[in-house]
Amino acid sequence: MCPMADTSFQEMEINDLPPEVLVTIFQQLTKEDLIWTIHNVCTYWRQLAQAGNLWTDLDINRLVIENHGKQDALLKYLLGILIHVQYVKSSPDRLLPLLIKSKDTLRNIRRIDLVPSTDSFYLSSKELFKGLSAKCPNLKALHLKFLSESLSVLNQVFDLNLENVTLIHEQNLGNKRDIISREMETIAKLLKEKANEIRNTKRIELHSFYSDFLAPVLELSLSNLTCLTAFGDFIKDSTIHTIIFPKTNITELCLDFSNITNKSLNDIAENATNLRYLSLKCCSRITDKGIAMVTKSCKKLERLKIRNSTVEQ
Amino acid sequence: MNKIVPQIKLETYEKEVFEIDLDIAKKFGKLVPVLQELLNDDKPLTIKTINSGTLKKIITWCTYHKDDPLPPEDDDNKMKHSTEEVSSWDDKFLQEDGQAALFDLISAAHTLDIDGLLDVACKVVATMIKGKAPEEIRKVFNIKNDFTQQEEDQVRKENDWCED
Repeated sequence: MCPMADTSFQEMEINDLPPEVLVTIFQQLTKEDLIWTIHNVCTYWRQLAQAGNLWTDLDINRLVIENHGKQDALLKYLLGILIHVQYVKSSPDRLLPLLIKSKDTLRNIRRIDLVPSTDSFYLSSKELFKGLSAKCPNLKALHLKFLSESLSVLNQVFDLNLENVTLIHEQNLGNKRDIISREMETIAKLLKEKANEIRNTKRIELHSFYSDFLAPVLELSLSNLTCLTAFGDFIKDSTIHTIIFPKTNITELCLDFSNITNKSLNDIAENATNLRYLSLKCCSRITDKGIAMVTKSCKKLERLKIRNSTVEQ
Repeated sequence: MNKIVPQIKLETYEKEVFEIDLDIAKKFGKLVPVLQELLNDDKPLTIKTINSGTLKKIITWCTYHKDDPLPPEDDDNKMKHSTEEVSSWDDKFLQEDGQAALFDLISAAHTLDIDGLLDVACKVVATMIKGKAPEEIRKVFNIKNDFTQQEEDQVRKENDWCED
């Protein structure tokens, strides 16, 4: 650059750009660049580095792991931007201190993905869910991977009045099955008691291959449910009957790997007439006849997936 | 045989009038409807914030990228900037006249709402920032360090931690 710039014509400098353009430039940088570099260039950049649209989503686990050794400064920074965040990914133990320390109501948070961290996850789940209901009034979606030890979170999830719930049970039970089955019974009872409070739920996704833990969730009367995805052999004809009988508003149904037979397909054909999407991949107990019933009576059906099922394609 | 191409007229800061083919001016996002209305007008549209040198560059860029596919319309995609690398032609074109000219170009691309140009130019500036310490960035872009002593100490303290 020429230091002897002509004074009659003003040389454009980076901070002469409109703030929204500077933010567009910063969007190309990593979160680490924003926290450790942009934040420390000048007061103007410090202010812009906390702009809302740079922080719509936040993977707290990744930031904590990759910035090991600077936790205090990181935490302080995150407390400053948390108010903008719409989508958080974190383990419960890393999210909890932020929720507790944040002075703001986190109105923008719509979705949280909770993933187990290495150890002692969910020990503090009660406080976490309390924090979520106090600080995140607009939380609509929760995506939760949980292990058998943390079954009690199921009960708390449905206190949050969510529209969109994904529950993934990720553990082979081995010899703990008996203890956990008993605990599950208690939770199923608790869930039933609050069946009325969870009517806002529109979309539920359940994954469970090792157990039938999640079955009680499906026995709740979710009258506003429009979209159900349930992977795993815990889905049986009786479960389907409970969900879609009587008439249901369900438009999307995914029952891959389930144990259903034509009996369920008959229920679906009779009650789920608004169905637009149906996926029955790897269902070994259904036949052509069942599929024919569904396609005949669900006139709005747009997509049907039956790969690897016992149906002639 | 030359087809007659509709043209629009733009007047720059220096009061120089440029005639631009409409199929090139199609890159001017939100301005396109305004420009189309002016098609039959003899009077040029004056844009005082853009100088002639910058407008020339804009025309060159738009001509070179004339046949690029238009970016998707929906807002979701507009927010997320493409992860595509900057082509070597763009990189050279944007940097060959120095920093001040690049910022003039970015500012003009913003005014004229040329998404594609704004996107690559912002990427080029981001590349100039990446991997540099705050002090180097201040030097490169001639930015004044306006932190108080107390704020400076705080930054130093945080950086000490990272060497643990």
